Formats: sequence, C-alpha cells, structure tokens
Amino acid sequence: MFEYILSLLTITVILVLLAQSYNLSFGLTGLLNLGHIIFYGIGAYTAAILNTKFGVGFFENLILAILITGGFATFFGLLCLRLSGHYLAIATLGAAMITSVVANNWMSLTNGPLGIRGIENPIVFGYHFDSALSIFSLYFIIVSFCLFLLYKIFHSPYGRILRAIKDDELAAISVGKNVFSAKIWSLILSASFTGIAGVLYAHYRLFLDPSIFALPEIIFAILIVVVGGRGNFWGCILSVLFLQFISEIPRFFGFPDEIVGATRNILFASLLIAVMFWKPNGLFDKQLKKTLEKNKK
Amino acid sequence: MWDSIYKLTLVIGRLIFPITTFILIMIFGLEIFSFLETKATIIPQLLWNGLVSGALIALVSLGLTLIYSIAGFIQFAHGELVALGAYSFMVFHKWLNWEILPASGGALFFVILVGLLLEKFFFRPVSQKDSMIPLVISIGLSMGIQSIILIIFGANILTMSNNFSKSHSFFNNTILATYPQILTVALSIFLMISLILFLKHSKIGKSIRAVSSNRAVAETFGINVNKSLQWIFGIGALMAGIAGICLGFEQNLEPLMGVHILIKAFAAIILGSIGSIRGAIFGAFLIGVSENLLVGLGIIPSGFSVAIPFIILILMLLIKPEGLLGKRFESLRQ
Amino acid sequence: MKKLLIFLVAPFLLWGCEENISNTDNNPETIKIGGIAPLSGDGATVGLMIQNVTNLAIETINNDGGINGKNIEILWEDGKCNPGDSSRSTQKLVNIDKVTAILGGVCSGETLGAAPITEKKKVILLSSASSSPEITSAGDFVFRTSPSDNSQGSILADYANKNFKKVGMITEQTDYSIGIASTFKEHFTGEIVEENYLPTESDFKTRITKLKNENIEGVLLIPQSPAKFEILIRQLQEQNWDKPILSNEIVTNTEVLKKFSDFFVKVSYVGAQFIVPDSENLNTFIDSYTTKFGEVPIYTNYVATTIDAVNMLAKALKEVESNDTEKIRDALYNIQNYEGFSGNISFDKNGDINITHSLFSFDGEKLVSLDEK
Repeated sequence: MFEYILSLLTITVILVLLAQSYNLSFGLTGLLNLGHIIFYGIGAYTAAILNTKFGVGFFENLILAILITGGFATFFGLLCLRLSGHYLAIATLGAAMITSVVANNWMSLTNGPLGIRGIENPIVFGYHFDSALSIFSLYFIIVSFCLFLLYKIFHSPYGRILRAIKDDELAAISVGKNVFSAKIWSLILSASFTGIAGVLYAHYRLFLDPSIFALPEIIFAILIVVVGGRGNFWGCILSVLFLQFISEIPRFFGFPDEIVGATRNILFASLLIAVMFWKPNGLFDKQLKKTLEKNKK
Repeated sequence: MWDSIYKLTLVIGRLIFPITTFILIMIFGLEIFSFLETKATIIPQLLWNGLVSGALIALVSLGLTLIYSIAGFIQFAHGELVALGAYSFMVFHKWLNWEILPASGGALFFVILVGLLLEKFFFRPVSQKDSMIPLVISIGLSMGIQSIILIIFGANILTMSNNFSKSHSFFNNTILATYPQILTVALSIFLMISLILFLKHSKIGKSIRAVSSNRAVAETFGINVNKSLQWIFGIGALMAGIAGICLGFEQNLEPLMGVHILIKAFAAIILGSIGSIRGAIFGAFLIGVSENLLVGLGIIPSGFSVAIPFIILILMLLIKPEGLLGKRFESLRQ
Repeated sequence: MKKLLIFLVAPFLLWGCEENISNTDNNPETIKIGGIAPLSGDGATVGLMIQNVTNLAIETINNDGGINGKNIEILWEDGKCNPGDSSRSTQKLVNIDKVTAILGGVCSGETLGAAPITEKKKVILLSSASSSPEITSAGDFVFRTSPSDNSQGSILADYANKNFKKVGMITEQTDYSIGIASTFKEHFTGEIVEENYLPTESDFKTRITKLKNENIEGVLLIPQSPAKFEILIRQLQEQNWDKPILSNEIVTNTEVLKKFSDFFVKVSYVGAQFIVPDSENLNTFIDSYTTKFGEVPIYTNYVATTIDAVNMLAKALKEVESNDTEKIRDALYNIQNYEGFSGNISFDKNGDINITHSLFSFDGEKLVSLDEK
C-alpha cells in the first residue's frame, strides 16, 4: 500500500511541475499553446535516448533537456507568437502531431512504437535512487526547487508584465513594454521546466513510447490549469491533487470495466465546462486567498 | 533583441527560403520532370484521391471558418458533429433499415438539432466573454460527446455497408472511382457554391456578413446577432453531418473519426487565412491533394502522412504568416 | 521559508517508516494472483474474452481442490493495451495486493510495461497472448504461452522467398505489427516496398495506388486488428487489386475471409496462423464457456494458451507449496513436455513456449494448411 501511494505521489509530483510550467505560458501569459505536451515528450525522449545509448547520467540529462526544449520553444515562439492566439493554438497542435509522427517513424533514434526500454533510475553522486521512497524524495526536492523558481517568476515584475499581456495586450504595448520578448521568454521558460518534468518521467517510468504525445494528455493539462485558475500558482497545485484524486477513485470501487475510461472523461468534460461557465477564474480562486491571508495573520 | 531575431527569421522565410527553392528547382528541374514522367500513369488517380479527401476536409472547414468569423473562436466540438452525422445515419440506415434518403434526412436533422442546442446552451451564454472561454468549453464538449459515442457504440471500428462499393474506370482507365466518391465531390462542390451565393445574395447571408465584419455596428443597425449565430451553427452542422455520412461510406466509423478530420480542417483554415470562406476551400483542397501526391509519388514516406498538413502549415507560417489568401498582417490584430 | 523547509524535510521523515511496513498480511486460505488485460478500449474484445477464460479455468481448479487445499483468487486490473496504464496497474497489484504471480498482459505493450516492475519485485509474469519478440528478453520472471511474432515474420519471409522477388508491405505502426515487419525484413531476401500507417488512419487508397505502380508480385498486410484488415481489403478491392495477399495471424476468425471469399480466391491468400489442435478437452471447455457467458469465444487459439497458462502456473504452485517466487520460477522452467490444450509444450530458457505459427491458405470455405499439401 505504502509503495503504491508513493508511486502515485511521484507521478503527481511530476504532474505538478508539468501543470505549473504550463500555467506559466497558458495561464499567466494567456498563450493558448495546445502543443505543450511536445516539450514534455521531447524532454523524456532526450533523457531516454541519451541514457540508453550513451549512458548519460541524470543531472546531465536535466541540463541537456532544458537546452533542447528551450531551443524548440524559441523556434516555435519566433514562428507563431506574432500571430493571434488561435494561430498559435493550431500551429502548436500541429507541432505536437508532427513530433508524435516523427517519434513513431524515426526507428533508429526513438525505436518507434516499440518504445525505449532499459532506462536507468537516477544515479546522483554514485547513489542509486532505486527504491520508491528515495525516488520520490529526490523528485520532491527537485520539483520543490523548480516550483520555488516558478513562484519567484510568477511574482516578479516580469510576471506582472505577463499578467498585463493576458489582460490587455494593447495596453501593455502602449506603456512601452516589449510584449514580444516577454511572450517568447515565457514560452521558453515554460518549455524548459516542462522538459525537466519529462526527464523525471523517463527516469521514473523506465519505458517510453510515442503515446506520451497523445491528445488526451494535452486536454488533461488544460483541464488542470483551468480548474486551478489560469495564472493562479497555488490553485494549480491544488487542482493537480484534486484531479489525481478523482481519477484514481474508480479504481477502488467496482465500476463496470468497459466504461470506466469513458465515464471519467465525461466527468472531466463536465467539470471543464462547468468551471468555464461559473468560475472562469478557477475553483480555488477566492477561498484560497482568504485562507492564505488568515495564515499570514 | 528578439525583435531583430524575428526580423531575421522573417527575411529568411520571405526571401531566402523561396529563392533557394527556386534555384534548386532550376538545377534539378530536368530530373524532377523525368521523375514525374515515370509516375505519370498514377498521377490522375492520386489527384482524384486528393480531390475526394479535399472535398471532405472542405465540408468540415467551411463550418469551422464561418463560426470563427462570427463567434470569434475555434469550435473544437465541430468534429464531433461529423461523427454524430455518421453514427446517426448508421443507426437509421443499418439498424432501422431506412432507405438512404430518409436516413440521411433523419441524420442531418439530428445533427442540426445538436448544433443548434450546443449554440443555445453552451456558446451563446459566453459569447461576449474572452474568446478563450468558448474555446475551452468546446474542447470539453468534444471530449464529452466522444465519450458518449464510445459508451453507446463501443470502441470497435464499424462499417456503413456490408459490401464494398464497386469502382468504375474513367478517362482511359487512368482513374478508378466509386459512386460514393463521385457523389461526395459533387455534393461538396454544390454546397460550396450555394453557400457562397447564399452569403452574397440572401438577406440572412448579408446580415451574417455584416455581423462578421463588425458585430457592434451591425447590432446598432438592428441586425439580430443571435439569429445570425443560429444560422451559422445550423449551416456548419449541416455540412459537418454531410461530411460525416460521406466519410462513413468512404472509410469507416469510429468514435475518433471526427477528431481526425477536424485536425486536417484546422490546418486548412489557417492555411487559407482564418475566417475566409474562399481560403478555407482553397486550403482544404491544397491539403487533400498535396497529402495524396506527396505520399503517392514517394516523396514523403507514407508513415508521415498524418503530419503532412502541418508540415505545409509550418512552411507557410515561415513564408507567409498571414495565410495564403490573407492580406498582409490582417490577422495580427484579432 | 520555514514552511518550505518542513516540506523539504518531510519525505526524509517518511523514509524511516518504510521498514515498518512488512508483507505479513497474506491470507493463508487463498493464493492471490493478479490479472492484467485490456478491459476497456481498443483491445477489449480480446481482453474480456481472456478474462472470462482465465476466471473459468481458475474456477475449475478451485472446484478440483485448489492448490493443495488453498483456493486461487485472481484480482483483475485494466491495462488498456498500453505500457503506461499497465505499469500503474502492476504497481497496485504488486505493492498493495502483494500477488505472487500475474497473468497477463494481453497486448505486448502491457506485458512490456509490467515487466520492469515484476522483475524488480521478483513476481512471476505469465502472458498468454503477448507476442512481441522483445518479451523474450524482458526478464527472468517473464513467461508466455503464446508464440513470439518472430515465427510469424520468418515463415512468411520463407514463403515469400520461394515465390516472390519484390513485395509490397503495409504495416500499422504499433509495436505488434512493427515487430512482425522487422522480422520479415530480416529474413526476406528480395526487394520490399514499405508503406506504414498510424493506427488513427483509415484511408489507404493512395498507398495502394502507389503499390500498384511498383511492379510488385504480392502484398503483405500487417494490421493490428481484424477491423483494419477488413478496411484494407475493401479498399484493395475498390482499386481492383489482383496480386496475391499475405497477412499476419489477424484473420484467425474466417469471418472477413468468407465475406469477400470471391476476392480472396481470385487473388490467392496466404496467412501465418497459429491454430491449436482440435481436442476433446478444448471443445468441452468452449461449450462450458458458451453456456456460462452466452457467446462463443472468437479466438480459439488464445483460449487454449490461456488455459495452459493457468494450468501450468497451478502446477508450479502445487509443486512449490510456498510463496517463494524464485522456486516457482524454477518449477515453471522445469515443466517439460506438458500435455496442454495447445499441444505438447515446455518453456525454453527465455520463458518462451515451444510452439510456432504455420502457413495457411484459403479455399473459399475454410483455412487449409500449406504444410499438408
């Protein structure tokens, strides 16, 4: 039981980082980037390929993944960010399609649909992180550190520029802010943190195949950010916990097996629509602020 | 700094890229010509295949682009209308044994009804808000309708008829075409022309165009915006339903069939500059034909065929970011 | 900042708790095993059938006195035909339910996703339907009672070597189909024109047009599911296809073949099949399955391999009389020439079974073995 909960927690911790980095570009800056999952996938594939083919270690993979996903993000930023939000949405969705097709077809690099097996658990300074608890602790520390950085970004002057862009782009331009550069940086930062999440995923799952790029994963990421409130730092974390909890429930009750997946999707879809209708700022909008203020006192 | 990098990419895209392509064609022109000559026998067939898939994509993308031009968001649940059209036709035709015409009438009625209900209950209440909100709602609707289809009909692939459609050869045996394919192309072209005429000459069509060019002004002149919205969703649903029935005959039925064609339609509307009717038609046929030609001539390995619409799209974003038929930077301001 | 520190320290405090959790909660009355199969989604047709067969076979064993007086209890989890969900399910079975063995998965992806976890925890993983060649080397505790795709690919290649110089190949991009395709490519000496498609695609007209222009002598179809095979066959007919057709074992049920029997007879069809010998025992089992679940099981061969998997595991459990999985593993390796439903079987040193596919053609009514001709 203990290990099962730990494995769930580890996945949740990775998801928190994925969602929070998505929150930076989609939630805070308002860039509707539907292909965010490609950065996750590219991070994971970077780690998997470098580790299995060249024996590159965990920390080196983290750094390389940041560089590679950052590079990809720069490319996409230059391509799409001058255009309106809908162009960005479709172009990034297309980019996700292309990456997934490449991962399926480039047999010599990604091993195609057969997937990559034999990725190692993280080894840091000679210590093998191979028990469930040690991996969780390592990931917890790394993700906490990333979240700390993200928190600083969210609440820095730069974060406020991003928020201003989301609310009113013209106003931000007219007070002399360089909107384009702010947007590109937000995409690059967001992609790099996602790349880290991807590396964590690969070194934990030890098996990787192109299903990581699937469309439902993108929708799940959107759901997390929307439920938590776009641009709401703590709301996003709560929302991951909440949604993970919901999606694990059917496993412990005797639902008819054939419809578990579909009913869960219907539940998520209604949640997504309901939140957009009645609480466009997220489920954890006001209550959270109140509790935080109370805590301060 | 980023501005100068961006200008550099723009220069590369707008000048250097086309120029190098041009030079390459000049150098390898002869070889390309002789290559095409060896494949000459199959090119008509490939063009026909492209025309059929282009006609299907066009039917879907017209609805999408109309909805975008009036309501200002991309309707993700539009693909589900395609799937609903196909499945409801199958229920009427195969399960209830109706003839083809009444069955398609019933299916289209059902799809239009769903389209109007979606508009009334999900999109109209949020039509005045940030365009992100209806878009995310439509993503949720798409996922929900898909799951409902999955629960009712199961994940298995179904077929519309028990037999295959016999093909007939045309133009000296260079093209093999089945009757459903010919019907698809004819219907699609007929619908496109009638839609363009409808928008141009009918009273409702004119008010729709007025709303699309400036909603606030149209409202002050007493045009009923909600009515135009209803018309648009109805027309879009009708075309999606027809596309679904044709797609069911041409290929097969599965819960995700709508999403697969919707994704191609996305690329089509962006290619031809979003919001433009002619652009959408042009983009759809461009994607259909080039996808089939590139795979059929062996220029791109067939495993990549799903990605081809987006490879074209990204090339276009490099060369002409405002869309092939769009005016320069028109799309930069929403 | 203080809060942050507490967050950081918390997991290390938990570290101490790990030792206190021990696996003493084994119920002495029953032996718990796990089951992984696609119970929803794409592979559910096969998955639900294998679930029913397994349950029925276990019921039979329990009625006959169980394992030395103990009953077998099986806990099912949905693997959804993919490694991700399967490894989640395996985590639950191994860590919460503390099973000694897992029957499954059905799709190769499920087995490959589960293997790293079971291998680490030394839990037996016994699949009765996964066919990927990679499972051969997936681990010491991994067994299977169905033949590997290697044999499909190689006998098809042998046949093609004898009859064709240039073949076309249409492969679905899934681990299963790609596995067969790569063995075929290894063994075939002639020229191959390769076409691939993603599982999401269903328009193959252009690929067929292309192949028609390539002067090939036959085409090998490697789809993932019977439904995709039917779509391929429809579109081949629409394009007036007239060359021989080869295929993988996907058409075990002859439904599609009979539907288009004229076409198949005209172009001639050869498929690699894995067909189990017709036996009295198997027929009685299928009858009791039909009365119990109200439908005839479609894939007779997997019915046989699944019963064999359950029975061989039960045999090993009886011999070992404890939960020591290393001993159970050795007992499984030691089973030689076991008279099972799918023939005279034994595991080799990789945990693979010693049965293979063979070639069949279609005469308009039924499948005819090529070996007997």
